[in-house]
Amino acid sequence: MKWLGLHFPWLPLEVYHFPEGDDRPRAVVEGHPPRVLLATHSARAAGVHAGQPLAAALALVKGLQPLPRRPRAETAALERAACRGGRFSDLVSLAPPQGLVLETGRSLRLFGGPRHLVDATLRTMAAPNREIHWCLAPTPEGARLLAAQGLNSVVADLPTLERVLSDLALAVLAPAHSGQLEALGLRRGGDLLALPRTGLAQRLGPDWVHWLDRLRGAAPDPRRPYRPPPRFAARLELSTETDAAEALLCPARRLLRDLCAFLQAHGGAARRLLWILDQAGAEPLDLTVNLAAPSRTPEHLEGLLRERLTRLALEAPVRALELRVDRVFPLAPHTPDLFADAPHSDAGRQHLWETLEVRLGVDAVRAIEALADYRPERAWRWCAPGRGGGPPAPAPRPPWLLPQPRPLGLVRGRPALADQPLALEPEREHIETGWWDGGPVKRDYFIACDARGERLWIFREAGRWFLQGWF
Amino acid sequence: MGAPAPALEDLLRRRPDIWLANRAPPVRTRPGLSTGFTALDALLPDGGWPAAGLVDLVTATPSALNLILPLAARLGRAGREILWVAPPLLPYAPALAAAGLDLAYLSLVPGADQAPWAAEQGLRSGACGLVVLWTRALPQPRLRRLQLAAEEAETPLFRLCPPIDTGGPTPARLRLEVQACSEGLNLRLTKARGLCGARPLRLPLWKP
Repeated sequence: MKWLGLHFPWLPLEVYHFPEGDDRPRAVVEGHPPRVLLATHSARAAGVHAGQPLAAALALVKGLQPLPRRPRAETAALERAACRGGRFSDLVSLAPPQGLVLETGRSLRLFGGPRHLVDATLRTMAAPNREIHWCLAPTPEGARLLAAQGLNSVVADLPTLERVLSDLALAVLAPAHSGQLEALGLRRGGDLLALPRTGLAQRLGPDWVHWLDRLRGAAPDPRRPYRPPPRFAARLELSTETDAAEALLCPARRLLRDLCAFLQAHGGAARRLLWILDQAGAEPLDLTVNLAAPSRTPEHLEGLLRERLTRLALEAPVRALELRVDRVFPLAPHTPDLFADAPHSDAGRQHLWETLEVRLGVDAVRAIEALADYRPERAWRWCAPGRGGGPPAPAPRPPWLLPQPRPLGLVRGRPALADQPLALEPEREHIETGWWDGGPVKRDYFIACDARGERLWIFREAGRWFLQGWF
Repeated sequence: MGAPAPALEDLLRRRPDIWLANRAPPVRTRPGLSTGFTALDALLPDGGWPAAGLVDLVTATPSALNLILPLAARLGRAGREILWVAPPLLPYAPALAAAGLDLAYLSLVPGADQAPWAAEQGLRSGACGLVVLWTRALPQPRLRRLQLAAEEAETPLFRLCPPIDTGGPTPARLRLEVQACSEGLNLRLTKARGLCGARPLRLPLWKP
């Protein structure tokens, strides 16, 4: 029991996204003429079954919605599941069209036995309305085949595997030749397995016999591990178009879960998320969500998107939602606070900045930095929040600066604000600098008081007075 | 008649459920946060700024900021985030650093667009030790929301608002009128728990 096979029986339907509680009869169809591959519960209840021609199914169920099979989306869904499986095994291999196999030799002990490992894996892969079949078996092909049969149990060793295979129907072991074999008088898998290899190779071809050897563990069966791509891109077709931005949150949550699994498989986090809302009859709408620090917490990323969506007025109904992340960043290591009750952690600040930026726009949150320059307007600058700092002023400076020095009037030869002359304090600060970098100043600074008691910071330059700050 | 008044007073004093209007209120919820000015601490009911809730500073002068700087400096040194929303002028970094503020913990939302919302986010984030909001008049429900958010976050929220926009009742725990004067600021407490005829206070800032 080294291999865990997983089988997703509903995969062709899962790649579509249906609103919660919507159980309209639907069927995934493929082929020409189209035949039913998989039908929803409500359609099955009405008599639709796999292999049925679509025309017959439509005659049976009024309002049956046929859905084309989407193999590429199914592969993408399998790959996302494989990403999640990365937690449980360093060898996760795709077993298309609807399965995965995981090498579990080492993880079994780590997770404390097969039961716990299987439980944890199924929990990780779970999704609403998703059913997963599984099997732990000594060979990868055995695990895959038996999971696809819905065995849902552990096959401990090769002799047990042999017994289980003996009970299978011929149609499972040799789907292409079952008619031929039945004509030979065979009934169950066991009858087939008892036959000599050479004879089987002659009748059913060497490839099939080789497959059987791999299935029974008589031949090596190396599996290629799945490697996640360097970028994340996932798209979800909405079964019903919606023009309510908030209705997009539910499908978005699914994409985010996949993204986070992808990020986990990479051991990284995302810093920039691009959401693409594919609108019917309009240009796709791009929403970029920037994060202050890389994250892979689905709830956090969802909160940021919700903030964007609540303010969005959609011009046209959305028919598909796409999420892209082009770069994986290393996750900032999470160091638990020594004083665990401190709610004012750095994560909290970053979360706040992001929330504000998402709604108010990039650069809506700033910090300020002091710079070593004698010119007051050059002794500071805006910077990113959390990056503020710099040297304190060496001389008295006002906590408020005007965006531009404001020219002051003159009343009886004294500088005046609103025609009221100002009272100047005797101290004077001479600043003369900057002749070398194109911003020369030659100013005398004073602290002044107006009639109401306001304390101002003013300067004289070339005989004119300016107000520059407020104490 | 002998002297029944002292006896009555003694009786009343023995009853903790009866509050005498000429005494400080018996219940103190949370100790206040020192303002950094001894005279102002003495004026305020909690012995300082309330540790949580809305504080209205009714003022036309930007100098009112000086009242908050000591608290902001102390909180920043303790690693608490400080958020200023819609300041009326440019906060000048060298002066604030000289006043003891750790600028790494000062975040600013310079735009006045959606300022009350931004302040509320600051409170609800739980990340801020102090939020300062400069606004014009705000509708009562908005103010009550802010007051509630500040109480829940156990964070003081200072709202600085020109006198012309602060008519009518306020849900604030504290309302202080602030005017510039030649020595510093003139303060008048117009709303506080247990307030009973507080005298105006002249707080010298410029001349020791």
